[in-house]
Amino acid sequence: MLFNSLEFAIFLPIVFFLYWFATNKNLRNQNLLIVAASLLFYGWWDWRFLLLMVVTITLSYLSGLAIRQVRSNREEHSARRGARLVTALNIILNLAILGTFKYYNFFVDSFVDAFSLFGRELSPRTLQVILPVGISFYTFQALSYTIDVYRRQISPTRNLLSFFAFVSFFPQLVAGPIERATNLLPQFQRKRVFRRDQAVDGLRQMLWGLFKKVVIADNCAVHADIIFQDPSAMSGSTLVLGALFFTFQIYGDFSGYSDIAIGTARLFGINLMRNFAYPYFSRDIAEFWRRWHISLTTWFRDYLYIPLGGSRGTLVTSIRNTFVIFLVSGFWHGANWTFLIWGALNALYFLPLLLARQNRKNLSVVAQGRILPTTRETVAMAGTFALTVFAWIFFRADNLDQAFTYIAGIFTPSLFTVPVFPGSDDAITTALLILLFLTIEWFAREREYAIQELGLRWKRPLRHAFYYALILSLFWFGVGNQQFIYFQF
Amino acid sequence: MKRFLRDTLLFLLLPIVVVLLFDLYLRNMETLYRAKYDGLMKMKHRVEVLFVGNSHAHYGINPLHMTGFKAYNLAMVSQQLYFDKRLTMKAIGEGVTNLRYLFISVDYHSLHTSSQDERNAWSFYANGIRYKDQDYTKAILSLPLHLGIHSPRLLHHGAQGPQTASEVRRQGSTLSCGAGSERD
Repeated sequence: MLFNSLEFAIFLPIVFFLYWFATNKNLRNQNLLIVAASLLFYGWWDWRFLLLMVVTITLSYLSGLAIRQVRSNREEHSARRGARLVTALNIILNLAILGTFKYYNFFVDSFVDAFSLFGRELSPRTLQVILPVGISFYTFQALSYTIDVYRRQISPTRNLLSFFAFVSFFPQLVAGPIERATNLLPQFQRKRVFRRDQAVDGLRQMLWGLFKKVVIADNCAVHADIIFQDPSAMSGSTLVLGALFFTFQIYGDFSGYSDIAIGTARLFGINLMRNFAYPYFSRDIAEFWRRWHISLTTWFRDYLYIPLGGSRGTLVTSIRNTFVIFLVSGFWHGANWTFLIWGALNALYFLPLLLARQNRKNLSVVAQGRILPTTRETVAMAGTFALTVFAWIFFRADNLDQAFTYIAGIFTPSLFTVPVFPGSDDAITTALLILLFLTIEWFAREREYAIQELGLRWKRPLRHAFYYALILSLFWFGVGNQQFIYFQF
Repeated sequence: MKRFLRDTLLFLLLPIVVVLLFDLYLRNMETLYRAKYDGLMKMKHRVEVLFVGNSHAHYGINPLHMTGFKAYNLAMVSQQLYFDKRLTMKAIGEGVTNLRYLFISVDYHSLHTSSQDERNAWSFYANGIRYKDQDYTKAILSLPLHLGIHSPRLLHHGAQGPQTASEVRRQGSTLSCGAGSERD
């Protein structure tokens, strides 16, 4: 079920009313409703996906109980070994499921290509399966629970229902934020109280998320799709424009989803972690990665980078760990060499900062307390943005050939011509919308989301007129129900 | 909770009322689609030849020149085969019982149903024909101004003959003619 669909507009109020009026007196019933609603929400795509998700959740739940069991019955050394074994087993099983559905064909095809270089033609079997929606998200969320239990950061839960609710919670099930058990699970274990301010804030954030998705991302997608479809036929300037449109498409699409997810969760008295913090206003690539897809970045930091040694140890270790985390992050996004290159490129961007030990230089919000940035900040932001746009070309391209054709096409004399492509007249409207969007984001960069406090001091009619304008824009500029990009991951 | 629900409902009330009013307005709006179909219904028992299809038939065929048959031109700009069929079946179901020949003008556009959102919306509001499960919410909520980007083209397109809804209502004959000199 898509957030930007009529089905969801009907589904959400029904679940909301049942949650607060029919099941609010009993925590168990409330969690049961959340699980049932989440299964319906997820099964709406394809009910067969449910089985895989249930297996993943059950495996992690049982691994938590098994860790508790081995710790309670054994002496410390063997308990530690037993817990490690259970954790490793759970990680292997979950990654095996993920690997089979997401990466099997990629590895098979890559082996075939590699062998063909040596003149050997192989014809192995590939899987003819559809990648289950959001599999990487819920697998990582379930994995984090087992690892946290192993690290004693959270006690294993016996309550299967609350555990199911934690992993399958429908607002963040298919595209995050990838929650931690330490934050979300306790919220399903205690009574939720309705708070008007929280619910209103949730609705406001949902509205902004819809605006980002429907007005910004979907309109950018129209132009980006046309330009990326046949890069060899486009001028250099058009290709730059295409990369820019995709840059805003992916941001609007993904951060829009996160806003809707966080807002929806607030309607149910649940607080999810922040996932985006105005990443395109970053002054260096390290700051960008502290502001982009925060839940995944911190997941890799906590469960991969730090266990590998992080930035402790020698410089070589730090560089290796940086490359590992970015390559794995790229590979997490999809089974395609383009994602690996995208990850490697970001690691390369990061490297100078690491070597100069400047990767934690920009921790605060840019131009804090000021309206405009300094020249130095502007140049830094523009530079970081340009690097990001360039990397997105690999992310968006269908394959490496297309990516290289695209890049080669940019660096031609036609770079200095006026961009022309089918539908370029409408692109002016889209560009103006992006400008408006960036302006609102700039002035709200110290808030959790852009319209969190916008207009709160205005008189109600004016404030409501602003919200109505946003709603109207969804229909006015909407281009039909579009999938969210990150569902495929 | 009560205050939240009351405020939310009040907030939603205005757009809901606006949507309903505009929907009502669109359903009763005078368009060429409606005028043509109404014209056909006025002479439904006499029509023997029906022209459907796209702009080629809409602009290019004058039923007045048909001799020996009572003909009617129900073609519309960019009208696809799907609507040609549905419109014809609807007309037959609603009394065009003497139909002997059906002419359909086609070109590459005739199968492009999915790219005709706004035209399809107009057809829906005039004739009640919905393309499969197409959702017209956007058309409803985008206000007539949005649809209006296309409506002048639909209503005033073409240099010859009565092409506006009011002209069709007033003159009728070019579109709904009978054999030779018979006029409505």
